[in-house]
Amino acid sequence: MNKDRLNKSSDGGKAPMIRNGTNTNNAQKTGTRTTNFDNLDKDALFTKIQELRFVKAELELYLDTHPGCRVALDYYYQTIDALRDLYERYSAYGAPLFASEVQGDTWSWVDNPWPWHRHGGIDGRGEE
Amino acid sequence: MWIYEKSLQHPVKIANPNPRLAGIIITALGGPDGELGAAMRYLNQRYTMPDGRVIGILTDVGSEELGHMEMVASIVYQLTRNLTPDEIRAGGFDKYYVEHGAAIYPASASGVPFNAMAIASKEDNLASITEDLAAEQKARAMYDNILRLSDDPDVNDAIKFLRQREIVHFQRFGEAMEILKDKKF
Ligand SMILES: [Fe+2]
Repeated sequence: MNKDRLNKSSDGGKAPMIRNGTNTNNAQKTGTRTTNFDNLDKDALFTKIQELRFVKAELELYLDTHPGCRVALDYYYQTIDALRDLYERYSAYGAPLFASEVQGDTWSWVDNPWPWHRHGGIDGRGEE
Repeated sequence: MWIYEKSLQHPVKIANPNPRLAGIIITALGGPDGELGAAMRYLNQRYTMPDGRVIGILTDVGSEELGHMEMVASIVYQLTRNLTPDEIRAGGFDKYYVEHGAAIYPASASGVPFNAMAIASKEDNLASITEDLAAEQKARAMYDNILRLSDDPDVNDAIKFLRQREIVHFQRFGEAMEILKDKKF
């Protein structure tokens, strides 16, 4: 996290709260790209989720000790808006990252792979 | 409470099994500077903290450490797949194997099971945050040692990520310390 950039607010910390992820001007200012994710396949979506999830985690820690930093807070709102969109798109592929995102007729939460299974396989451990 | 996300914080994809490395890296889970201790330290210290910002950082760093436990366990799991008895003996993994097989068990590299004596939690909040700053440095030093002993690029990628997180946590705990001093808690 670039502390200098976060502490510098070109608008005196009075940016309007952006929650819909459509204000590209503010997105440029804070460095979050509010791209549309229409063209991403499953793997590309997951990579994007990993990236933005990391941004989210970093911002959460930063905001814990800088709760008054408006620039960081706007960046956070942008990030979680984009993440919500990505999670929703990813859940359509039937490999939910959260139990609450299971869709369809079977409880796909228990399907392999689990996170420690390399390359999506079960690594020849004799598991089914 | 916590909500589980079925994904690692940073990918772990290790091509080659290596029981010797597994026996070293297990300490990053259950050793004195490991991720289990880190999570337990911060999540238990939270309750008596006098400032919401400090509670917040302990909660969120402690939660992240739970995710780091899962990364370290994944590294050990992938390093120990499909081992033969000869490979287990040659890699010095026999003492771990005889007790646990290739299951994940939180212990140090020298075989000492996880011990809560490696963490502290004091109502004296400056003592606790000072402990946390030291803990992050000790964990970073442990990851430096792992990087000196490992030449597996797949392992090192994940270890470098974990090492970098210790540096960020140290930074945030430093700010928590300033918050506590400013308010003369
Ligand atoms: Fe840490």
